[in-house]
Amino acid sequence: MSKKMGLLRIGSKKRQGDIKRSKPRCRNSKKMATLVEPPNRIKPKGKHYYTIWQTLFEIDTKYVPIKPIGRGAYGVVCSSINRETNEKVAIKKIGNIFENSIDALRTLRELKLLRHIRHENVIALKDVMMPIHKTSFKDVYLVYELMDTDLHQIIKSSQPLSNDHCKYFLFQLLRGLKYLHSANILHRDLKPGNLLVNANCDLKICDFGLARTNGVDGQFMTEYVVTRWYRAPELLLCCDNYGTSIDVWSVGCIFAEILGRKPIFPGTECLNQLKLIISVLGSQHESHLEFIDNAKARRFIKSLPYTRGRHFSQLYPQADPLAIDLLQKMLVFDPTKRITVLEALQHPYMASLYDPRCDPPAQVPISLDIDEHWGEPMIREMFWNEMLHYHPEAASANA
Amino acid sequence: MKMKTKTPLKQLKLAVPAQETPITSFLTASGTFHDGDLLLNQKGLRLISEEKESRPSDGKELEFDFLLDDLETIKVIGKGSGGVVQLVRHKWVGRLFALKVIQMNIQEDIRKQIVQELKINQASQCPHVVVCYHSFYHNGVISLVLEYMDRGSLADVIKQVKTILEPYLAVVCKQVLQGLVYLHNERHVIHRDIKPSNLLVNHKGEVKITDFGVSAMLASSMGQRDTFVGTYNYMSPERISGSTYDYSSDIWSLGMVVLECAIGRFPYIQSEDQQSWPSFYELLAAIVESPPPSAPPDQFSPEFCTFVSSCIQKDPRDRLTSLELLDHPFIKKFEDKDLDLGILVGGLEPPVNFPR
Repeated sequence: MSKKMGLLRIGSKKRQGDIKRSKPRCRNSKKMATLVEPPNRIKPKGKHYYTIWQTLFEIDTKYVPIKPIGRGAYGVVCSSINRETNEKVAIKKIGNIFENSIDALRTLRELKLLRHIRHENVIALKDVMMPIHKTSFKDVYLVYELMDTDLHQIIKSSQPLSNDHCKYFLFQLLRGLKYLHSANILHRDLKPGNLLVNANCDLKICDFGLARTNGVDGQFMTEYVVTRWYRAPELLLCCDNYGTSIDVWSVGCIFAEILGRKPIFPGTECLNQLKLIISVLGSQHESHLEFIDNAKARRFIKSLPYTRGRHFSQLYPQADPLAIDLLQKMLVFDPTKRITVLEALQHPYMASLYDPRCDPPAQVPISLDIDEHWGEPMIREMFWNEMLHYHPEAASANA
Repeated sequence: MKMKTKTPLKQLKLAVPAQETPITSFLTASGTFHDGDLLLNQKGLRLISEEKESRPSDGKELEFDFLLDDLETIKVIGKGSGGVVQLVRHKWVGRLFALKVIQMNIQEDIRKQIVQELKINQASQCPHVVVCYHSFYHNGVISLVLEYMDRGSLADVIKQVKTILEPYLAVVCKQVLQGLVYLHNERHVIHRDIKPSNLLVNHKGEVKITDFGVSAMLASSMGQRDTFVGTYNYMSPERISGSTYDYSSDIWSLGMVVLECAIGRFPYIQSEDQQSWPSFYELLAAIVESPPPSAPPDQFSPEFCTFVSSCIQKDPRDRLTSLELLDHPFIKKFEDKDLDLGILVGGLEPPVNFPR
């Protein structure tokens, strides 16, 4: 039996109409999760309630929150203990999920993908809590394995990173990506904040809200999806068809950021982003612009002032020459000439780490049946079906 | 199980940085955000220089005390650039406000912009700029309590009426220009994001500017995410081509907004038959390379046509200033006709419905 957490318990809710201001809470309540009464005083079986950063969490009783660890783009995240297994997890609450159908579909996409993905370098989704009522739930609670921090925090910190650190991070990112690409999945939003790491340097890819299968259904993929600083030229230039190479570009930007401890292309706007890229890679020869199918976009690139660019060894003078060579092959403007993930793993820089026998491909290509025009009832049904995969016992109890 | 690699790795370790280290360098022991002469916490905003002078409170002070906890959320009314905007009600007084919630970002240029916006809001005293009553900082989040404009934005209006007649446009323009005169001449600020959704309207027919330039920077920084759609539509040619720009770039944007309201479509869409928007680079090329759009003289008065062309000049030096435009014949033409914009917007569907 594990030691019980010393959690604070707040008294009962104030009476209706009581206008007296509540007394300021003690300092601890700002940092720890606080056990509270259910909102309407009716406690459903199997759930308990905590306030975390003024956000109410309605969670399964086997989880005991510890403290808030982040405020993601779409919700609050707190660390917790699973009392049944004694393992630490991260619970993400996404509130009012149906308020914005684009965000809802993004979350649904992540649920569907992560259910199929099994890889050491991809974050595991351990549970999706079953809400009390199928017809009226508004919030979704996702349970992930808990990691210590993310690569963004590491890069920003002052601690030195050796060549072995840089190499090991890149290696894990590439093999996680190799698995995804073998399953026909593009991540499409790789950036340091989406790469979780532990103190022992394990690295896992997370945040699959923008991930999508690679055009197997022949559908043109929407543009403008990747966080700008890590966005590949073919996305910035409105190319209608793109592939796994957009993730490789993002990896190149991340690798450069690990080496240089700051973003390599911190564009303020889309046009500025392109200018920064050209200022480093240099003006492109005509033959390297043939992939741009929009005539006006191609003309725009040609209209930029001529520049010879800067060699990566000038930007990162301390880096291993093999790292520079690999970086150079990743950050190639023309996606058809950019190195692939597999080729990157086979690069001499990765020779001491990569063993192809240890990296089997995904079992089967994963397909998503998500229609961007679904309304709330259908989205709600799909969420419920995903939850049933983690709670098969609830299927019979569905009334 | 430790993952297999060809050769065993020596023990690699990382120091896990404390989660709050970056922002704590800007926090006092009690959790107040402190940058330069600006102090911001759960109780509100204070400027140190202002405190020393013990300046008397200005006219926009509310008649009651204000706490963040006293606001209850009714509905999210926007996920605009810079953050989430909620319709909130003061629990005791029942008054409605718009609450804009921004994640604090301590990247230096972003932080400076946020502080600048807070200071501008603190000092804002123009009837045609949305009032910011209070600002708070708590747990990494900044909250701005803003005036609630109950008829939404100009974007909501033209969605319903499609076109706005010249007399009403003159009323809109005059108010926006007065707001711009304040921003340009008194606050020395370029707005940078004049567009229909940033020009708010209330049931009294008042038009006010919202979302100062910092918000565009914020949108760029928070998640560094944007879409092409709408980002460049109202941006002046000199900004798009990367040249330096000044107050006159806001004038270009205003001209585009006015023309759009008049003809019922975004000016660079060639005709009403064209369903889709021009592609991103087609739009850029059109703005930078083509002659500027204009109001058709067979449908609009000469005064309106020259007003629009005074705003939409490719060369920023050829544009009139906001002060000069207030004296334009198009504005003067309707000044003494006592037009009530409230009648127009009062007949429209309010953008936010909620139980009272």
